[in-house]
Amino acid sequence: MSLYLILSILGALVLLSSLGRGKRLVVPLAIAGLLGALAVTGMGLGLDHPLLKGMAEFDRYAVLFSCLLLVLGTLVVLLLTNPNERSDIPRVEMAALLLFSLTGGIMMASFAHLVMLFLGVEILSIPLYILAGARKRERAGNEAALKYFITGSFATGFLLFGIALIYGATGSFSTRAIAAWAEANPAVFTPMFHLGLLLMLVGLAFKISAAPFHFWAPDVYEGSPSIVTSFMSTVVKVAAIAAFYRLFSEAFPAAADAWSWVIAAVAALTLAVGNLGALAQRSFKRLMAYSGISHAGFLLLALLSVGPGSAGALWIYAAAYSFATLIAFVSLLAVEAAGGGESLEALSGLGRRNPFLGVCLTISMLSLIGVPPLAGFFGKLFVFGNAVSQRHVVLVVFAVVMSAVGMAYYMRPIIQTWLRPPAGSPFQLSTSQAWVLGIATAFVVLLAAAPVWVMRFL
Amino acid sequence: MMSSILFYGLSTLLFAAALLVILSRNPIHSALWLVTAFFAVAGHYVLLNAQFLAAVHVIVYAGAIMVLFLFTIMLLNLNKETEPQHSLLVKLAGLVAGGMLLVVMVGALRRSSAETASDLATVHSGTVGLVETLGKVLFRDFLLPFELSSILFLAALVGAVVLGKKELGE
Repeated sequence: MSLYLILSILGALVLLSSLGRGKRLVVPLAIAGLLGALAVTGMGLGLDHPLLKGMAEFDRYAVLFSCLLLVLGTLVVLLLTNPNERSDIPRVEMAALLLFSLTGGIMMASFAHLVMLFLGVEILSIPLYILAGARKRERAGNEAALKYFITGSFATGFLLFGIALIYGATGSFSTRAIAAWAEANPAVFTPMFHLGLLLMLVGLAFKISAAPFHFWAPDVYEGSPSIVTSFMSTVVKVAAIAAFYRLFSEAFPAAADAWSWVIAAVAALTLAVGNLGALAQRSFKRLMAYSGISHAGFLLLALLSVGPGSAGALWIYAAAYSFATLIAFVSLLAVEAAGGGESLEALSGLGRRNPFLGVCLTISMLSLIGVPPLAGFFGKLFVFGNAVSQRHVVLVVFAVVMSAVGMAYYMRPIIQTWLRPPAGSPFQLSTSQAWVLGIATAFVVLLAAAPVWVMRFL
Repeated sequence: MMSSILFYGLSTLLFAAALLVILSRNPIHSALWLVTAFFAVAGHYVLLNAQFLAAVHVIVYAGAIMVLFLFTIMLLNLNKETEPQHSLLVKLAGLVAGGMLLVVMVGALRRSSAETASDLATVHSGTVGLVETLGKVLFRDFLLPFELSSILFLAALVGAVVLGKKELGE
């Protein structure tokens, strides 16, 4: 409860600060509020409230994912201090919309009622439809916003229809009551219930950009300003997979026979499309979009093996993926600010132009591949380990092959960074970029120490 | 008996109107058929004892949203010539995808009619759709989602202003 209140009031305050001379204070205000929210979540102050009454539940899963979302949100808001970002939306409104979107993300991580899930998805998405079109005067920006809005609304329709059918079958919106109903009716096939389940699966698969619902991702990522893309590929992806896992592990565990093979097929297809699609990309931003698709496939593997330890594996994987992706986008922002474009060639000689940035980008790419001491390795280790223990051996073998394919395209930015001649003169990072890079890299390196703790906590 | 005649009458009207929405060549005709479809849905709400929902549906959808639609169509001057032409392949793919969804839905819901009818019958208990009942549920059980939906509207409002406003010097 306290978390919803802090974030929504913070968003409104940020909007109000555009009156008068408060504009300079926007980012510090937002950061202070987000850090406050993080502290409140960490200490568990007033998270549960009688008003939540079956609507939302801040259990350990919700708290851990809320913390991750808040840290990612804070880092993205910190990036707003850079004056170089091309966007027609003023910084104040951008910060407010990001905060509203983050509120939706936290609702998705903590819902216990399908109405809250639906509202969370919408509150997360609507600000992003707007932000995707932040480059009002560019065709790519308009295309991104319109494509995201139309396909997103369509996916929302599927989600809503699914919720309606589930309600029709079980007579309740509450995840607990639905799970109880599914346990009491273990029939092989209950038409309305299972159709609703599949429609909800489609709606959520769209949000995590899993194949075959991924078509929007590369175009939307490319057309949006890089700062919005960084938010989409981290906060949105984490919130969506958190909601996906929460829904299927809490409401539908008894119906696992009906959905596990669907998720397995979607995961395999997503891995193939994401990794093979990334091989063909020339733009760094589109490469990261396909990388996001392929990681959605890995995250679905965690969903497939619901059981003890799978929530922890999901969290570690999501954290490893999102911090590494954030580093990649900060690098892109820095290169853009230094006059480079979005192509892979713009990264040429980055290691000599700015060694710190080069090192951070290399660490991020290595973590996305899954090289041992880094966070990405532990994410893959736990996710694969869980899936194997649930007898999805063939799928895991396929996933391992696909991570090997991933190595081929994640090496390309590294090669550009270190082995190609510099594409321009050396440049300085802005203070906020340096901070975000430092913090995100620290997470990527130090998360290696966290797994045991996370596993024990969840 | 009476209600099932009404039900089938309204359903036929709804299907016909919905088909005409997508089959009409003229976008204005499509929009007007959509209004008809909304009224048929409102009739179904009344049959389900949801009078308040029926009234709101007519006011919001058939009223406000349709006016917005018609204004957009007229302002953009959409007509047959400006309609995007799709290739045969796209049309075929759309047909296959939509048809598959239809088959799955019909197949699934055909079997569900008998077994869930008894549960759904409770909806017909008189007072369920009255404003009073709805208000009590909304402000007691659903208070949190109701309040949180204000964030959604605020975000949409900010977005409309930000995207729509003129910049200095334009």
